[in-house]
Amino acid sequence: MGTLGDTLAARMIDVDIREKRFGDSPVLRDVRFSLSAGQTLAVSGPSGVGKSTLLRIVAGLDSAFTGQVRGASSTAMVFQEPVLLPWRTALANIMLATRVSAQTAAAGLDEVGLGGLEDRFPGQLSLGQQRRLALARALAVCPDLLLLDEPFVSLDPDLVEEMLSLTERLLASRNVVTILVTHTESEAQRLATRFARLTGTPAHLVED
Amino acid sequence: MHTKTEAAGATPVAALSVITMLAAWSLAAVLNGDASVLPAPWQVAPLVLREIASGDLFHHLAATLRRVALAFVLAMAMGGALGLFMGRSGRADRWLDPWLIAFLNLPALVTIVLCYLWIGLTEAAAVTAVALNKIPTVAVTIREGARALDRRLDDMAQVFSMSRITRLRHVILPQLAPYIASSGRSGISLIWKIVLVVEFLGRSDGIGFQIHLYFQLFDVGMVLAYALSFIAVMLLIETFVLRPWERWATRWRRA
Repeated sequence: MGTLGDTLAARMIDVDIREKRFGDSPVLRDVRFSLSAGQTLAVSGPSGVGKSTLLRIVAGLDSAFTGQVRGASSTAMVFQEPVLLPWRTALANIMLATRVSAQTAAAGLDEVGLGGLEDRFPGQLSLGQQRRLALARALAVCPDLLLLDEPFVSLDPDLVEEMLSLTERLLASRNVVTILVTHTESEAQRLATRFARLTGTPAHLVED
Repeated sequence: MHTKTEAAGATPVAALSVITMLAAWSLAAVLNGDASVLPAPWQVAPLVLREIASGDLFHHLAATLRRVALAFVLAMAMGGALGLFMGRSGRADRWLDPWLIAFLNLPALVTIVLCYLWIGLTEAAAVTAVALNKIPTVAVTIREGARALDRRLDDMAQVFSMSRITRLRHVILPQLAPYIASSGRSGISLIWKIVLVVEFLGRSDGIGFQIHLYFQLFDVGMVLAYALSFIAVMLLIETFVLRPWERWATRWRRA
């Protein structure tokens, strides 16, 4: 079994989950890895193995586990669905979540190709545009740690390709630690620098 | 398109409906033939104009509206906070639910009498009594809304470390807006009816006080003049305050 080791000196994010249980059943055990700036870890594994649980723990959404997550001073996440505020404009969605100025938010929209759509409500955007807005929101905070929870799920192949290229380009220009949870081998290959699988019951992490 | 057509048709239909109501009233008054029992619209209208000219109507309207506004704000704020708290915390809900049921079933008259007895025949007692009657119903409606809040938006707000006040204003309250509008609308009509009872029992101004006065004088015309004036004011508030606010708060749905 090869848990991901502390191989790099310039460590930024340390994840050390000794155990996570739901009631009596342990879901994750001895999940340990460290990632440094610029690295992208792709985590794959069968449905229900605990990928989303792992991501929720790293995101700080689930604190009921033994172990610790260290190193991220600002975290951003792109969820499986866009999770936008439908009653606020595209620009306001970025500004409210991230507290950046209107100028920075507009620049972020421009970067993902949504320039000129600042005043649209999410309902007036296509699904692809909503995904790009969610990505712009996550990157607007200039996070140390970016979490992508199957961000391209349920998109048609053209849109997946478009989003992959965009994400690839945006990640390349930033020195951020990224954890990508995905089912799809090709997504992992495109975006990740390190690859791991969650496997077993309770699940542990195996580096490929 | 469909909505616009409906909206365009709504005003003439509403006008026609009001005209039918006035016609039915006139017919009943003519058939009855006794103005001391049921005066006709054209007999009540001069009374309203006389009260407007003397300034009495505005004086009493203002007193009642002030009580309605105070009780409304108090009930919406406290009922809203209580409902949100109970909807978000299962533990709080289990503890407070029996209280809520007790207050929901407490007759308005009992609250009013007890408030007057305990606090005295004061403005504070009057407003407290009305607010206490409305708080539980607001709490029940807002609790339903709080239970239906989108957990994914909660997660998003937490990951991005949104402040409590930003979360409340931009994440939670917009989701509760339909529930707030619904409890506000039913609230304002319930509140003004209770305010009239409160004024009837223990105040020396307001529409309820005037109705009490003319009830003792068996003056049906003046009772109707005051009641209808107030209903007209409430309709104006509904049309020019509540509906525009609701349209503004839900504009993103039509965008």
